[in-house]
Amino acid sequence: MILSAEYRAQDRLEEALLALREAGVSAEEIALFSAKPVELPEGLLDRPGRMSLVSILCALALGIGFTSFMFWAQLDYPLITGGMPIVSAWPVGVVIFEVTMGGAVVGVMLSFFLQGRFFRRPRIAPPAGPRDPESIVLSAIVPDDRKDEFQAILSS
Amino acid sequence: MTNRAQSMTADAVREMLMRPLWRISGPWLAAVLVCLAVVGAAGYAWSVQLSEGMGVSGLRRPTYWGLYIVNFVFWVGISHAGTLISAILRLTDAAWRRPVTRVAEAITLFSLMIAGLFPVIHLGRAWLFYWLIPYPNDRLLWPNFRSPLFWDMTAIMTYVSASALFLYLPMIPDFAMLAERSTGFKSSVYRALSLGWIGDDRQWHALERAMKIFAGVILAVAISVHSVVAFDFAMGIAPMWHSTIFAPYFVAGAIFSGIAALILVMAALRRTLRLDAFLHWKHFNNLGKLLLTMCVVWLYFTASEYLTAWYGNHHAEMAVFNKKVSGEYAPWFWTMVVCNFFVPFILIGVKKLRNIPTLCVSSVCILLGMWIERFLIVVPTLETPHLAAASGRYDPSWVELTITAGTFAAMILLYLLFSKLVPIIAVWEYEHDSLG
Amino acid sequence: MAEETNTQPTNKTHKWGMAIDLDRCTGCEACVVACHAENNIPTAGPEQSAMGRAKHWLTVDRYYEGEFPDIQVKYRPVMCQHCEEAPCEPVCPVYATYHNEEGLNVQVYNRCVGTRYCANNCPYTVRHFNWFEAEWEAPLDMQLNPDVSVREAGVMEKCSFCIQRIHRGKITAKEEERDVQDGDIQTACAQSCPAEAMVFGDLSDPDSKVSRMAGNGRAGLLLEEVGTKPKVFYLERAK
Repeated sequence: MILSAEYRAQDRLEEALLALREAGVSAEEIALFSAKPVELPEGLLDRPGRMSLVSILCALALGIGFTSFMFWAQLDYPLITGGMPIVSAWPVGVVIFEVTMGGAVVGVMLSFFLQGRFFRRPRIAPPAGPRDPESIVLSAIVPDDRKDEFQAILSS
Repeated sequence: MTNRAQSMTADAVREMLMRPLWRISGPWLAAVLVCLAVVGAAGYAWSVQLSEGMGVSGLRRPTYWGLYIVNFVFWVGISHAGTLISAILRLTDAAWRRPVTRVAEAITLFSLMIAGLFPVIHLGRAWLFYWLIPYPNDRLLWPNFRSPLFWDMTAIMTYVSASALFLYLPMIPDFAMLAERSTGFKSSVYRALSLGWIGDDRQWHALERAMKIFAGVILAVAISVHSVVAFDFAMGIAPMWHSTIFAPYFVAGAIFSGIAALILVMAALRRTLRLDAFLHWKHFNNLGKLLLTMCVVWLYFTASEYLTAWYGNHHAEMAVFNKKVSGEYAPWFWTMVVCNFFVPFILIGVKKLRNIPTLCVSSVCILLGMWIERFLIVVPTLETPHLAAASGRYDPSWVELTITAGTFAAMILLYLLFSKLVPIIAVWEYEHDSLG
Repeated sequence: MAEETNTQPTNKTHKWGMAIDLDRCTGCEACVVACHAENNIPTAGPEQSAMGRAKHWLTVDRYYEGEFPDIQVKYRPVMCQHCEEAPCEPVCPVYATYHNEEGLNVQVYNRCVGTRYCANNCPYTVRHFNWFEAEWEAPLDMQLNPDVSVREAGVMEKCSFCIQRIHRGKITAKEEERDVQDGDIQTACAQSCPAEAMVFGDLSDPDSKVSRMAGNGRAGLLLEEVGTKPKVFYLERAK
């Protein structure tokens, strides 16, 4: 079941989190709801992500894809140039750069939506009703049989 | 000015930042109507041009490019406001940037939207602009990837989409907050725009990571975009266009005019939305110092450009040089130098003279000076081509002047609407810095 | 594109060029008028011309030397030089101007969207733009050349070395089952010059008149230092 507690002080929140982790709750089963980003010490509630990797891969994919498309299209197209090269690597270098950057943007947006688990029903629902913007709500999925134990941790 | 906002609670901060939303006042409405009128006039001017032909403009042989291209370069330059502030300051983690980022990013997006119109407006057959896009067709049409104008199109499209997303992403938490605090149709629109934001740590982490990467990407794109716009000129062989310094010159000039525009917009917002508690002297001072740096950098680039042209004494280049520095365009040229260098250098450099009103005066002068600089880059070169017998003159017509006025009105209009729909300072970013 | 090769009677590829003898040119501008008539170029009218919108594919530039009464006037007809390394070609975003195998700088009116970058990049400023829809007052509208299209407003145009006459010359030669001879194809300007100062022909044929003129000691190129490799040779006595 899902237990929640509201915190105002950063240190109390960190204590509770540490206690939860030590009691065996995994990061996957914990969520913090706040009105602004919360900075926690490393290792406490890490959310591994691969945003940089995804954006680089998307950038390369789009860049190489569009470059190939450009070269194939130019060569496939029976244009007469009377000597001037049809395909010219340096002049199209700018276009390749822009499209690669565009690919990075697409990659970032994709992994933003994936990592943030948008467009999905959240595993732990956010607390309902208007909240104090300065408070942080800690919610955790705990096994039913240990409910009292975790209740104690969260109320302390 | 005391840091009053820091002594306020988060709720009070929100109240203040959300107060202007959806509240229509008399002066605001009047401003919107005036802007709409000017934009309408510009629309009419363009429709005349579309129906009668480019001949209604002041363009002619040999000045085939005129005010439209001047405006295009000018507005792309202004767009570097957001990029510099948001991207560079984000990457260097400069805390003072937080109240300023959304203002700057909005300037970027709006000025890019305006700039993006001009490559279409200046086309002889504007309704065929889509032929620059490589799409499969049976008419043997294909764009020329080697043309700097094609690079322009890809660069601007990438920059506009990246800037739009860069502005939109940090607005998501604010949209969620606005959805909670409003009702009915407004609430459902804001909720839709917030994409189901629940504010859990996973989403905050993803947002911060995304913004960090975005900042780096957008910085690279912004520099390349203005370099590509500079390449439109530098890749050609027209006298005094074919200069290797153009790409960095344009980027530096863009950052320069961008900061000036940002200072003006910030000062205007501070006055009209009563944001004294958020936008302090510290912000203006820092931007002023950046402006002073860019002022000197601008002088450096301009001096390099003109000195090398003069010393090289190439006959075609000297014809253009003399026209600009001592001939027919000399009053414009020296006005530009005074506006871009002397006025800001004195008003910002002398500490006693530095305050918000004088910063605004400097900014207005710089915007004027930079517009004149773009004009002096485009027109005198075209008036004095390689073949002297083809020399001519350029006089903009009412169509071009109206459309120019329309773009300034459009910028103001977009900003007026924006400030009523979205909090102009990112609430969560502000709280994160000063209260968190 | 592919149609070019179909009109070739043999596999012979020409290299079209012109030679203009400036010492013969009298500045009468008959060539300009002939060009207008042949290529359906509308007249701009007094107001537009005062603005600088006179559209002459071929202009006769006048250079004055000396003071009155010892003035010398030199005339130089300038048209598209059909440069081998034309700066106008790489910059067109829709590939509306390119170089064909016969050395002509070709302008495809249907592709042009009117960015006018090509005109800015031409060092000879020989490219013209259609500012308005072309109009001819009746009955002048009945003298249009059916071999040449009338350009829409918003499209670039320039001297084409009378490509329609080149095509006609090649088709005639093919029908008569022979090669194109020197002198078969004449551009309108060369045809109408009373002083026979303008000559059009095949530069790849060493015996053609234009090749011999180009090899003349008096021959030179306009704005040679820009490096565009133009194909119009100007002959003038060295000073």
